[in-house]
Amino acid sequence: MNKSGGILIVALLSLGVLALIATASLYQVGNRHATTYHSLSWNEALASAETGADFAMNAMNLSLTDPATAWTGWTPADASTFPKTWVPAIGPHKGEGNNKVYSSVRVDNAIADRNGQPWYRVRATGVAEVAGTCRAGIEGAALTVGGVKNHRGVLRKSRFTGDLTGGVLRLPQVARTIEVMAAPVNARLLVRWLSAQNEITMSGTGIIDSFDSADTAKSTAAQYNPAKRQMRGDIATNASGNLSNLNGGTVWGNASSNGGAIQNTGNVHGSVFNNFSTVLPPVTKPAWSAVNITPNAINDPPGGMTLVGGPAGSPQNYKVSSLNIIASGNPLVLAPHVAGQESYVNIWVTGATSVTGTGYIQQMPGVHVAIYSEQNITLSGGGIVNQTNVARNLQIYGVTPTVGSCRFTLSGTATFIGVLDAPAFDISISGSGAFIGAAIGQSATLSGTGDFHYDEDLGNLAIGPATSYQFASWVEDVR
Amino acid sequence: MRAPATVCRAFTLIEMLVSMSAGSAILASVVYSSISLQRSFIWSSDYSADSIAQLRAVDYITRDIRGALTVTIPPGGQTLSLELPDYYAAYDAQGNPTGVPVDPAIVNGVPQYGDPARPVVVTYFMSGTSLLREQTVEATGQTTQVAVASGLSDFALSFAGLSTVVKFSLTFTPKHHAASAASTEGTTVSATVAARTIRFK
Repeated sequence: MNKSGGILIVALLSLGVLALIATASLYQVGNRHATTYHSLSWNEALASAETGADFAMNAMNLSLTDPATAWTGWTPADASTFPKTWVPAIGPHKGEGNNKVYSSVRVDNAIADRNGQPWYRVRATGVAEVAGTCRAGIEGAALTVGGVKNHRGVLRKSRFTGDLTGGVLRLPQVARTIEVMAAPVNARLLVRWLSAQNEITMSGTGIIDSFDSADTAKSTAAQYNPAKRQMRGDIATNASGNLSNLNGGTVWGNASSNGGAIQNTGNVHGSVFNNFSTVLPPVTKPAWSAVNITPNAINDPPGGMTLVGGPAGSPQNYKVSSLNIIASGNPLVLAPHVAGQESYVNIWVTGATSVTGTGYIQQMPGVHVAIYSEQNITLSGGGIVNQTNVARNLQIYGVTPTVGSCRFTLSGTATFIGVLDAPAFDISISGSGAFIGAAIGQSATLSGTGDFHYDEDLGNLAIGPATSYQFASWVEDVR
Repeated sequence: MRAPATVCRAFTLIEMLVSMSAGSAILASVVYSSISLQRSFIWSSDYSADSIAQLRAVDYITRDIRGALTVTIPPGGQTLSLELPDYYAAYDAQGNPTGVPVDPAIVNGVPQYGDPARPVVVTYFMSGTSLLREQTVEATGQTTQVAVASGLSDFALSFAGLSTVVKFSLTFTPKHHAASAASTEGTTVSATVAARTIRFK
């Protein structure tokens, strides 16, 4: 009787058991590896999408100075045809330890603000290969509180089918898409009551708040109504907050600085931030093609003077060496070309601008005024009587000097309704008159008893040319 | 001739003792290895699952903060309330987006998706040991909840300084109590995220 064959069976059984153990081990390790690879690719895909958005931003900014070549590499590459798409070529890629990534960017200009100025919408998709085969990891579906699976709720979706790259990458893939809106900087300069390059000092009793002249829920007959006070009376400085002191002044909005901490913010009813920075472009001299020959200076004109505007398509431009109004009997009147019609008057003052004593400038109903001043601006006495009662209709620009800075001084009892864009001017506001509108300055000292009401509708007002673009929103599409 | 008789001999006592000892040692090592292997499987499996849960929670919160219109951290720092743009045209019964992204309107210098007065409100908070994400689409009134992670012992939030940057941490209860004291303290993951849309204002 031969009993020696049993060892083969034992060996086979042993190998079988070992094989099962090895299989179980490899299975356990394999799907965890898949999850790890997936996680890595998930993050790479977002970085790729962000890179695509940055490339789009670069092209947008180039388009302001070199529109003919800014969109080179995009399809189409010309300056004016949208939407555009961009798919970069993938560089040499080999070796171990990383994945191929891919970007696809689409830029369109279909979204415009209320001025008709287009904003760019950037949709950037980043795709990253997932190492290994098409295999799910260990991450299951999201669960509701009741334990019901929510498969669509999983953030880290994999693509085992439906290549998004036209064969550039293989499957499996992870894709992430972001949408960012890019705004021309000049369209967002007036999104707060005060923007200053340097310090902001409050020492009076005036409060800062907001209203919206274009929204009846936030204003009454387009005018400020304290019963409809809003919380967007924001103030912000590009300098360290340590240089600014609100002295307990009341701000119905946010107070922001670029580092440091704004002092004495106890009555800021919004948030206090210190990670703010923005671009306040310099104001340049006007470049008009036509200018009225007279007057060439306005200095206490006997009996007063009237400058007549023109329709929107042909505004009337006046260039004077000085603008000086000092007596109520000698006012400057800015009148429409036809009574009751919208009319536009532009004044370029190469010297200083001042309204003092009992003098005043009368801005008649329907007249839109822009004043460019190359030297100090002083408004006191009767100030500028904006009879349109809408801030966007009076725009005062302090031209940025080549060297040094200038001053903008507002005092007295008259209410100022308008916009000040003077990033190189030190602003001093005192007296008891209110300031309704928005202001940009080098620094700001706010004293006196007058209040400050930001008109939120000014956020729709673009001033000056577009000098650059900035991101205005960020959304990730998680479908 | 008679064939020689087959000789069948048993192990001697010494041989038996040696073989039993060797067999026992082998069996013991197999049993011990199996237990260790099983324990290792469980630990590695839990480690992977926990890592994924941690990353998933961080991903959810990070994604929402980046696109938020407002970020509120009530006193105590254990709840995160966000207002998100109503970016999609439709949602399914579980609150997942199913519609296409809507076009924004530019109002007062700010891109607005959907009705700005009725945003999507998202709140993260702990319920028991689970981190829940509650989403209310105010345009439809639909409220849904998803358990983003479980096994938590703490959820802490704060703003970084005076900024629009949010710092948060999630502490997970340990599942295995090994000998070291450190392993019984739980696992804490943290992240620092900029609220980009707010920063852009």
